[in-house]
Amino acid sequence: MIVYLIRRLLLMIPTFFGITVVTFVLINLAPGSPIEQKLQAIRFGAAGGGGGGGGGGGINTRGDTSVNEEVIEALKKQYGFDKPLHVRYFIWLKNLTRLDFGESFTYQEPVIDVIKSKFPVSLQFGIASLILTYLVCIPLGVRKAIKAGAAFDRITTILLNLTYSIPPLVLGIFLIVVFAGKLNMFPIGGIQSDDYESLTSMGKLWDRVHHFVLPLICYMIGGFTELSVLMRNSMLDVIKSDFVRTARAKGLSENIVIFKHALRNALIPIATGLGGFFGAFLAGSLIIEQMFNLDGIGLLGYQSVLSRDYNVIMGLTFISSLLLMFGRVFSDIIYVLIDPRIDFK
Amino acid sequence: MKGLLTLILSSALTAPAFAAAPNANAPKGGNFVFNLGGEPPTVHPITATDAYSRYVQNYVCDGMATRDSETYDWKPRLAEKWEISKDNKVFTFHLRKDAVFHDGTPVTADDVKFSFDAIFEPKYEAAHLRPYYEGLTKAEVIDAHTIRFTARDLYFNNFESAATLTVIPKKIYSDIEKSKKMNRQLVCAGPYVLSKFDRGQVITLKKFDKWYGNKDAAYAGMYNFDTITMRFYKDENVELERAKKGELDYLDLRVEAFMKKTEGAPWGKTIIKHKVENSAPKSYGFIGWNFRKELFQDRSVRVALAHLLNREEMNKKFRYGMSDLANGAIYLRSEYNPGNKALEFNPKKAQELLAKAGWTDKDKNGVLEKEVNGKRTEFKFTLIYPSKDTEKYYTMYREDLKKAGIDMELKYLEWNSFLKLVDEGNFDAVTMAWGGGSVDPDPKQIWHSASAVAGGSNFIAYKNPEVDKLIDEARVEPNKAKRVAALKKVYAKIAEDAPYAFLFNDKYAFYANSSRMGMPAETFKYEIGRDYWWLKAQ
Repeated sequence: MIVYLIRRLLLMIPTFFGITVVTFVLINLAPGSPIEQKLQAIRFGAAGGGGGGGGGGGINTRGDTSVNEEVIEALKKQYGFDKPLHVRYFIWLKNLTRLDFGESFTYQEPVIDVIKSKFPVSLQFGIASLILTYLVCIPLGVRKAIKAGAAFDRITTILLNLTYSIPPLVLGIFLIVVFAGKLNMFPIGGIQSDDYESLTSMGKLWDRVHHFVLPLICYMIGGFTELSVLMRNSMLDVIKSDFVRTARAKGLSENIVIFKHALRNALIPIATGLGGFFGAFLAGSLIIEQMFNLDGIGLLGYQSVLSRDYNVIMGLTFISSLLLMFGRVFSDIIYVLIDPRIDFK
Repeated sequence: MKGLLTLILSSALTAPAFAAAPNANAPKGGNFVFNLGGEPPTVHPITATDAYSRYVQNYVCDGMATRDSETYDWKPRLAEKWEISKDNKVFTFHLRKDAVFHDGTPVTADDVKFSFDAIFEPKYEAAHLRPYYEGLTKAEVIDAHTIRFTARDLYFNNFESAATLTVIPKKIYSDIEKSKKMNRQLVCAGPYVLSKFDRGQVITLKKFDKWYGNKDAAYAGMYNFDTITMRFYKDENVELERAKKGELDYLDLRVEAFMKKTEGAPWGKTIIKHKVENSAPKSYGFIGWNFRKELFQDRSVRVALAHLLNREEMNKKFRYGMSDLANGAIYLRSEYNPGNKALEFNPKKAQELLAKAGWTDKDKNGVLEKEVNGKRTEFKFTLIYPSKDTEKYYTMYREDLKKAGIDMELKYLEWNSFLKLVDEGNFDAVTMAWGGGSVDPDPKQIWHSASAVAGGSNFIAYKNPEVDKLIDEARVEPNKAKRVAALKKVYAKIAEDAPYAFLFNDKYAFYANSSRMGMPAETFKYEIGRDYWWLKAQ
């Protein structure tokens, strides 16, 4: 196992290079560099591309804005684009050894500070939805398996399929309009009230929970169905296996059969997903964050791609690929812990 | 008689239809909450480039002069008066002596000079700002409260560049390392202080109690709120729900939201909708024909293509009939508009023009063709566009073109990829929109042949020596009446050349406000005029 782990960890090095080189080259090849973003800002004001006749890029109001070579050269130097691509990659790598991800072109702050400022929001939602999903889906899946084919199983399957097919965007608008708007039961968005600072500790907790409910539902809706169905099917497989039949034949109570013998085995496929726990640190969804006005990683990633904020994109790629790779190794370890028969050699 | 009628009509066009005045006795106080629409990545006065930061800066920072919302005349701000030299190249501003920055230090000529020089100092990384100020060569301190700008040439907008320069305190921003970190702080000399900038949450402004205007009768009835809270909601549904809950005092509406999404209570009760007309220039959309392509070099073809664009129907179907059909490259109600007739939908006329240009469907395959350089060429082209929202317009256009024997392909491109093709001139036809621009426009950026370079705004490569000459003359003409006359000719010639098929000019501005708001008028001549609003006593 130890040898296997070392091998896996060593394999992470070329994988890491692969991911970062491909990302670096891709974003640099895509049209529109940070310099072009600045030039656009000069030419079109700040707005993006419009059309029709409504909105659209507003021209600046100060007349002639032909941009001369000198300005373009200055911008290139400002952003370090006066050097060739491979040199820039090596500079990025070199800085990485000092954990320096460079500066965000958009925010004009160190990338690490920008990510740090968005991170808590995504982390809170990531962890909350992960825990809640497991807490609900495991018992639900088990019950569905025990009652396989019965009314409970069929009705919940229909419900789960229904929720699975609702796009988070539609669900979000529905929740906002009905529960936050019409019924006025929840706040429309944000993570806390304006008077948050003046609340008591309990008041703060309640305020957070209150703000969390609607976006959390959107976050969980998809994974919810997947995990419940996975749990159900895995449990069904185990229930049908020989050792469960033997346990039953020995006269053990149904509860002991299910929860002591079957459940542990049925959890194996579910455990694979636990590696995704690391992903929860960067769980961000563009749509949900935008809708509920949450300032998280999802929105940051999306905006960085749109505005070609190379350093932020690379920073996020680096952190997420690292988390993903460690998540995989973590899953393998859990595998072994749950099922001693598994041995990676 | 006809002459008289024209005179009456033209004076009706130029005279203000209404004259709104601030309410000098407006009650002071309260918190005004509105949606900024997005979060400024930084509010730094030198490095910020986006529209959201400009909104914040408008409240927090001052320049030396500003435009009047009703007359568009220059009004003193940090400068109490100014002189313009006879040759129109030297501008001397006399600063008021009672102006202080938010840190309490007085505003001096030194600060103004620093604000100007910083733009050209590479360490400040303000290369993007330079093109706006390149018309000015230097700023000289005459004495503590007098500053003199010298212009490079006679360009009529030079004064505006100097007058609207954001003045920042040298003491604070001269420390570059410190200044670089001030992305969520803003120290200026405007009527409001930036008191809080919570990422992702809110920006709060507080009335600056030492602002010079607080005691000056010239600003009576302005900046009545104690605090201003700015939100960053991007989603329209969220914005409307927030407003319904009473959480917003002001929101801009799109025509769809105005017509469809704001019916029934509480609209009209706790939240009031407005459809207002003012003279602020509005944007126009267009389809531009690439003059580098043989196909579009014939004026008859371009005019025919414009005649095949059924704008009346589009306006009715997609814009609730709320738009004007643009008649050219300048806002319909601008005094610079030559008043030519907009090209109407007329397939018959288009057919005649196409035939005149030699395009006929000899082989009866449904597509027009012509001998070009000895080769039979079919009338086919591709229209590139960067916004899915507008697809419906062009789908309709494609059908009408098809009936006329023209095969147009639609191609959607992501903004950056789109712009790459536009910059390279590598397209047939392109669609976009220009913003309204200035009340006193300068067409050089879009219409002068000098702008027909890679990355230039004249990306369709429209070149007309006569237009170039008139633009060059108008730019150095300080007399506005003469400039209007020259530019009217420019815009008339452009409309005649039909380099774009012009789409729509917005006729109205749509917005809503909470019933807590008091306002002297629904709109001012050149803006909505929110700086004059107040909170009614509850």
